[in-house]
Parts: sequence; structure tokens; C-alpha cells
Amino acid sequence: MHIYIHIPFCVRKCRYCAFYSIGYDSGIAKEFVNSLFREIEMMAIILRNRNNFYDNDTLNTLYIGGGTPSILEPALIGEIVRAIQQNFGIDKFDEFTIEANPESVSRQKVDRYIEFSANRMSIGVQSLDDRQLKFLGRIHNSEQALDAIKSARAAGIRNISLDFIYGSPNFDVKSFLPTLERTIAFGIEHISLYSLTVEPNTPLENDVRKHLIVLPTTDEVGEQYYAIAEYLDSQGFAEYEVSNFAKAKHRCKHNLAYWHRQKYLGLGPSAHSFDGEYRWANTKSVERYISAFSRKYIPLNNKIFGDDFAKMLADLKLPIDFIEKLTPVQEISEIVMLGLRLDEGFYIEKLGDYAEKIIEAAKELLVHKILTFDGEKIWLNRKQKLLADGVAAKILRQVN
Amino acid sequence: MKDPKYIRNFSIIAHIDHGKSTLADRLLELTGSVPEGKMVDQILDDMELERERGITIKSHAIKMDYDAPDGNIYELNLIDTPGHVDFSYEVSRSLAACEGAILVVDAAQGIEAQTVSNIYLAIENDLEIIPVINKIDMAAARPDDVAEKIAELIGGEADEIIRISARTGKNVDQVLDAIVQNIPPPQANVQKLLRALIFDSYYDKYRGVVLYVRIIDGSIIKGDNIKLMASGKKYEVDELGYMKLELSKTDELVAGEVGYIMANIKEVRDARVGDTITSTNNTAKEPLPGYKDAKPMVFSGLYPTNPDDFENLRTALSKLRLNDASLTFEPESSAALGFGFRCGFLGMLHMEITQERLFREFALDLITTVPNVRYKIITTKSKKLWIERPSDLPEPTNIEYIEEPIVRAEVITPHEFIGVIMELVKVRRGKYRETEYVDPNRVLLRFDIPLAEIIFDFFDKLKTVSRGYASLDYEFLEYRKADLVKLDVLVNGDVVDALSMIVHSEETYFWGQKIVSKLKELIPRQLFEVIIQAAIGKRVISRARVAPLRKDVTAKCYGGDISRKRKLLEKQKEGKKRMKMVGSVEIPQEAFFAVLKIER
Ligand SMILES: Nc1nc2c(ncn2[C@@H]2O[C@H](COP(=O)(O)OP(=O)(O)O)[C@@H](O)[C@H]2O)c(=O)[nH]1
Ligand code: SF4
Repeated sequence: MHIYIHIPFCVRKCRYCAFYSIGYDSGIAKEFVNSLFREIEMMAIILRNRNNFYDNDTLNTLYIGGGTPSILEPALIGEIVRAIQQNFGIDKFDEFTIEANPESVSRQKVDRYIEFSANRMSIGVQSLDDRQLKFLGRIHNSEQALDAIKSARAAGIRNISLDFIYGSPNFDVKSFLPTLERTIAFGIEHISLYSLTVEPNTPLENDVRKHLIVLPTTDEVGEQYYAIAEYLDSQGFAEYEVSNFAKAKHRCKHNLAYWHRQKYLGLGPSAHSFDGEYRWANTKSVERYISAFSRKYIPLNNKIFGDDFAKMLADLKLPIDFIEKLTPVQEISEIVMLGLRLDEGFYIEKLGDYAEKIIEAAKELLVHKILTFDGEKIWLNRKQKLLADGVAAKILRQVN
Repeated sequence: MKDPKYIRNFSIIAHIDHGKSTLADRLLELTGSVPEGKMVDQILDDMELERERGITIKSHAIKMDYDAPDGNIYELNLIDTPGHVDFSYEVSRSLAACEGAILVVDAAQGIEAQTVSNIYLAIENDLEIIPVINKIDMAAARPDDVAEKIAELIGGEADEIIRISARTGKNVDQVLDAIVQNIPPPQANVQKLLRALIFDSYYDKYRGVVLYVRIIDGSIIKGDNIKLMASGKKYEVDELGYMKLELSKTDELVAGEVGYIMANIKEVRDARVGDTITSTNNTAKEPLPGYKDAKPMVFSGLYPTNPDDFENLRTALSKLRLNDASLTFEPESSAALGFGFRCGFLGMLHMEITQERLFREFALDLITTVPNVRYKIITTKSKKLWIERPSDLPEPTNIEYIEEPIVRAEVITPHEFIGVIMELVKVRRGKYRETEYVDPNRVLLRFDIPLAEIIFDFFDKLKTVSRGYASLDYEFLEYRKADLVKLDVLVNGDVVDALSMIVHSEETYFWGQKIVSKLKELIPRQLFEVIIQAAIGKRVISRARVAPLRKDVTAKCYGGDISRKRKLLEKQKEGKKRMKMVGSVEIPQEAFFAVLKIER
């Protein structure tokens, strides 16, 4: 099975960040971890009784993300991993990623992660240009970033992913490519490339609204992307998802589970889950999360395991932000939307009754060489990757 | 039975905001026709849209019983008239139901063009006009000047004109006295064969069509078999009565009176304004004069944004037509827009109101094509064709000539704007006729101008160049030959029929360039390149390109939060649905109206 754990702490909020995270405090972190244990225990029982989470799932992945997981005492990470393994009966993860930010990575920490069986790290490098890092509101500098990569490598992580941001003001592909080259030289396996996005209620949004910051045009951002993608391709990194590039055999199994619409369980504040039928998310508030799991909860007995999953979660007073049962159209929307982001595209056989309509809707885009259809699946051509959402919307407007 | 001696039928002529409603309010209060505090606007302007736009679209009427100082009780029927040029025919029928009119003029604003034409209408109908200067309480009031001008216009002595404040109620009693003393009682003969004038009608969900009538000759009672002389339709009177605050039943209406009739009539078009009601058995020889089949002058295609709404649109239009005898609609289809209706309206206001009602009352999201007039085509084979949409224009080689409707327009304006207005008229192919002095400061300009030019932005432009001072009135004159051609718009090589327009041959380049650049502004960038062209026949005269998008990503896909991403996609999808697919190009609704926004 696929499990995600959200660690909601950061040293300081980055300028653009819309993730849910609060300032780190060892006291709160302890309480949080205790609540997390309770959630793990409860969800394990619930899912076992629902009996629909374990089937056919051959891979086991664990992704500890955030926030900044590397901010936590490594011992706590160890306890969390153990709790997961015990409650869900998993010996070994096929892929176990820990997210880390350069300022809080050290050789010692990585050694511990490996002890806990972590085999993949995702490091939030973002840039190796100190002015850019400053602009983004990151607290590390380029030297720390390089050190973090070195530490991870030296400790023996054989699957390292780096996050980078492009599309920020003053971002320049010409100076960025040498950055990539330097990091690739460490032998990293995976790169996530995100364009700077103005998310609501972030300091960045505020600055943009006040015209303190002028962002590059979408055309410029597009050109940057295609140039970087081209370069990464030349370095043996396949663009397997719009924002993700990997060397052979190093695609992120956990993230692919999201994109292939497999089941996954998210634990911790703001974490999202999917059981093939329902999507739900935990509350974003760390406070509410902690208090929900520290109260004496309703004993789990057979009475509550009814058919109505949403009702059950509500009866248990779990700190759920929302839960939705997907309609057939929503499922189709997801298949198309997510598939278009992948290099392989989406498979026609998954579309059921909607297949014909969607092929029809795609026709014009095939003519314009935006999409390709090989009789089995439809995918977005590489040079058009950044049109994924527009293409999805255009196709899906024919589906109601 | 009321002795006609004690009946007075009158209307109030006033420019918007000069105080018609307020005066009516006072009259109702003074005659004790309305419980204290209940505003008359709520009675006279009872359609939400009318209130918002500050105009009266339909006529209304109300009966007041006035206990006059002479000791007699008079039946005063106030017949309210619509206040817009689109409805001048309705105005004329309302006036025909009256013997007198109160002319209300704002003491600060003076007389406006529309008022002048309504005064002429009143004079044509032989109405006794009682001029009243309102708002004398205002600091800016200049009642003496205004009185002079009124006297110049309608004759009489300036210093005898009643000066009131409808707001404070000052001197309003004098208006009542003047109504009783100056307005002649109806010349009514109860012995004659029944003739009643329909001056308004509306459709009531529960009771069918309610006719507002003025009994000219004879009398009518419940159960009478009646016949409408223009439509030839026959009915049996179900109920009749007076218009008070509510409809108030009575047994009989007699010559001279104003009242309502219900007779199981299904649609207002079966009993049109201006038609004459007579008795089926004792049919009057002649109908009352002045009936006109109010014909639509402006046509526009209405298409549901969502094709599934086609039947809903049909139902909605049918419902509106129950209550709107002038609205016409016929199904049509457009290669670009799918299935819709070509609708005919009396004028732009009528069109806008109809569209707004479809949107508000029926929640229909519509695409409207640029309005156009009805053209008369004489083919090379000497056949006469009427076309109501540009794409129906035959091939130029098959056209001998084209005629377009010309209106006679009257603009009243202060002197200083004569120059700019003449220029405006010239640019819009108008032909100046004459100038008349309304008063020492203002003139009335009369000119002939193609209706097609008026329905674009003429009125807005007129207001702009005259800083709001000039006013406009127009009426249909005749069809005249004009050198017109069809301008097509092509998007990625396909003619978008809904964007075709008929323009003067000397203006093709102007329009071609403007429409193309306007569309370039309005058509958002798409996944692939869009080429917009304007063409006359096969000849492209203007071209623009909308570059393809390089990036169209609404949000990232962080972690497992697929829901947010999907919801954003749904929103984007909805946004796209509001656009029309023409070929594979998404065109926003405004684009189909773009021509109207072109600056000249
Ligand atoms: N000062 C003043 N204002 C008035 C008078 N009569 C009407 N008004 C105001 O003028 C505006 C337009 O009046 P209304 O009766 O609605 O005009 P209508 O459009 O002709 O029906 C309203 O704000 C009235 O309150 C008046 O005698 N004196
Ligand atoms: S480190 Fe990551 S999660 Fe934390 S504030 Fe910065 S961007 Fe957000």
C-alpha cells in the first residue's frame, strides 16, 4: 500500500508556500507525533475492516513529506516508521522517501534515515543562486544545498530527488542549466521542477498584487520549461510527468500511485487519501488535528463499520476537512487530467462508456499535433506538456 | 351608470425623472385612492426592470374617485404611458384613450426631445394639454423660463401655467381642479354600437389576458359576445371592472369609461393594442382609427450557450410572447452557434429588456448576435426578398439592389452641440433635413438616417458628444436604396455566419479592420494558432493572428491533493463552456456582440 505522512513544521515560511506548515516547536512536535500514532492505529483498524485497501497492491511505498520532515528528531521519524510497519503489517518498503530541506540535513541524520529503511530522499534545493534563494524566502544557501546532496550521497542514498523552481523573476535559463549540471554531476536520479506559482494567501500573492514583484509572462515561463526539459532529456532524465524527470528505473513510485489513481492513505494534518471510491483530507490545522486525536475517541466496534464510509468518519469525529465520493464523470476527469501529465498519457480502456466521446473531443488536438493516439492510449506531445490543463479542460467539456 | 359629464380621462406626459410618478402619487393621495404611505411607484411601475431602468415599458391605468369642490364626484382615469421611443405606438394608443394630458416639465431641466414628440402626439390626438411645471422647490428651478418655452411650444399664457412641487405637494390641488375644469368630458354615446379601444394588455398566469380598454361607444357587460375587429377573433366576456389599486369587478362599462376586460384570451397577440372591441352580434361598421400592427424593426439571433437549452429557450420566448405582442421569434440555425431563434424587436431597448428577462426570469445563458435591421433585396430576376440576417444575403451577382430602412430622427440639443451632432449624423450616413428652434437656447435637428446606424451606438454617442444634453426620438420613414455589401468574418478559414454583417461599401475596410482587431482582443489564446480574417466575398481585406498558448496550467499537482486540481479543472471547463466552439476555436460570448463596441 501507499502511505503519505505529513510533517507540518518548517523553520520559517517561504514566501510562496501554500503548504500547511507551522513553526517548529519540540513540544508541539511531540504532541503531533502522539496524535499521529493514534491516527495510524485507528486508520489501520478502519481500513482493515473496510477491507478494500490492501487488495492487489503489490508495492508498498512510504513518503514522509511536509513541511520539513528533516526538522524532526530522527528518533521520532524512527518511531513513526515503526508504527506504520507494525500497524499495517509492512516489513519492507519498495520505496521510502523522506523529504528534507538543506539547512536541516546532516550526514548523521541521513544515516539514521537509512537505519529506518529509507531508500530515497527528496531535497528542497530550489536553486543554487543565493539571490534567488533569498527572493524565494528560503533559509538555506547554495552551499548548504550542495552539502545536503553530498551528505545524502555519502550516507548511501541511491535515489536522490532534487526540487527546483523556475519561472521566478530574474530566473535565467542560461545560468540555471549550469546549476543543473553541477547537481547532476553528483549522480542524482530524479528532479522535480516546479514553476513559481502564486498561491492565494501567500506573501508572494500579496507582493504581486501590490506590483512589488513582476513575474515573467506565461510565454516566458513556457520557454524556460521547454529549454530545461530539453536539457534534462539530453542528460538522460526522462520527463515522465510534467514536473518530474527521472533516470531509468527511478520514477517516483509513490507519486505514480497518485497519478495512476491507486489507493493511498495520507496521515497527518492536511494529508489526502483515496480508497478508489472516496477522496478525503484531514484538517489543515495542526491544533485541531492534535486535539482530535488526543481526546478519548469512540471505541471502534463493529457497529460503526457500515457501508457509508463518509458517515463513519463523521461518527468517529475524525478531523476530516472534506470527503467526497467520486462520480463517474469525476473519475473520467481525473483519468484524463492526470494522464495528460504523464508521458504515457491515459489509456482508452479506462474510460469505459466515455471512450468514444473523448476520442472525438481529442481529434482536433491530434490534427494540431498536440496529442498523439496510438489506438490504446492518448498522450500529450512533449513540446506541448505545459498545455496539460488546457487540453484536459477542452477534452472534458464534452463530457458531462 | 356614470354620466360621462363626470368622467375625465387623462395621461401624464413627462420626461424621465421630471416627476410623473411623484405627481401621480400626490393625485392618488389627494383623491383618497390610496392608503396613506403606500407609494405610487409601486403601483405604476410594477415591473422590476422598469423600476431599475427608470422607464415605463407598459402602460398602466388607475381610476380615482374625486370629490370635487363643486360637490360632484368625478371619475378620473389616469392612463400612464410608456416612456421610450421603442414604444411610441403604445403611447399613441394610450393617448387615444384620453381627452387630456398633463404635461409635466422639470423646472430646472426644461423640455426634452421625447417630450416634444409626445406633445405632438397628444396634439394630434386632440388632447387638451395642461402644462405643469414641477420641482419649483428646487434651488435650480427657473419656472419663468420654462413657462415661456412651454407657452411657445403649445400656446397659451406663460403665467397661467400651474407651478407645483410634487414632492412637497404644493399646488397639486390646482392640478386636480384643472383636470376637472379644462379637460373635456368624453363624447360618449351609450346608444351606439359597442366600440372599445384596447390601449394595453397583459398576461396573467391565472386569468389569461387582461385587456385595458377605453369604451368609446356603447356599453359592455359580462357574458357579452365580443369580436376584435383587426384580428377577427371572438370571445365571451368573463369579467370586467375598473383598475383601482387592485382590479375591481363591476357589472357594466359604458361609453366614456376606462376599465378592464377578461375574456379567456390566451396570448396578448390575439388582442393587440390598438384593436377595436365590438359586439359579435351588433358589429360596429368601422373600427376605431389608428390601429397598427407594431412590426419588429430590429432582429437578433438568440442562442443558448448550452445547446441543451434550446427547448427551454423556446418555452421562455413563448411565455414572454404571451405578454408581448411585438416580440417575434422563429427557429434558425447557425453553423457557428447551433440552434437558436431569430427574434424581432421594436427597437434596441425592447431587445435588451427581452434578453434581460430571459436571463433573469428563465435563467437562460444566451449568446446574442449583433442586431440588424430587415433589408429588402431586389434580385436580378426582379424578385423581392426580405432578409433579417446578414448571412441570408444572396450572392452579390444575384442582387440588383438592396434597400434599407430609413428613420426620421429628431434630436433636441443646446446650440453648442449642433456641430458635433451634425458630424455624428454625417459619419453615420444621416441626411440632414432641417432645424427648428425649440427655445432660444435649443434647437431641434431633423434628419433621415439608416435605422441600422441608429441601432448601433448612436444614442450612446449622442449622449457623449452632447454631454448628456441631447435627446433622441425617431420613427420609421421608408426603405431606400443603399450601396451595401456583406462583410464576412473567418476564423481559421471558416466563415462564422453569426459574425457576418452588412455594411456600406465605402466602409468595408474600416469595419474589416475594426472587427478583426476587436476579435483579436476578445478571443483568448488557444491551444493552437487562430487566424481571424474579414472578407468581402472571397477577398480578404483584413487579418490578425492569435498566437497559441505556450503554457496552460491552472495549478500544480502537489502530493495526493487531486481534488483541488480536479475542482480547478472543472472551473476551467465551465469557463470554456461559456464559450462557443466555432470549428475547434473557442469564442467568448461577447465576441458575437463585438461590433457594437467598435469606436468610430
Ligand atoms: N425637489 C423635488 N424633487 C422632485 C419633485 N418631484 C419629483 N422629484 C424627484 O425627482 C425624481 C424623479 O421623480 P419621479 O416621480 O420618479 O419621476 P418620473 O421618472 O417622471 O416618474 C425623484 O427622485 C423624485 O423624488 C419635486 O417637486 N421637487
Ligand atoms: S520549506 Fe517547503 S513547506 Fe516549508 S515553508 Fe518552505 S516551501 Fe513551504
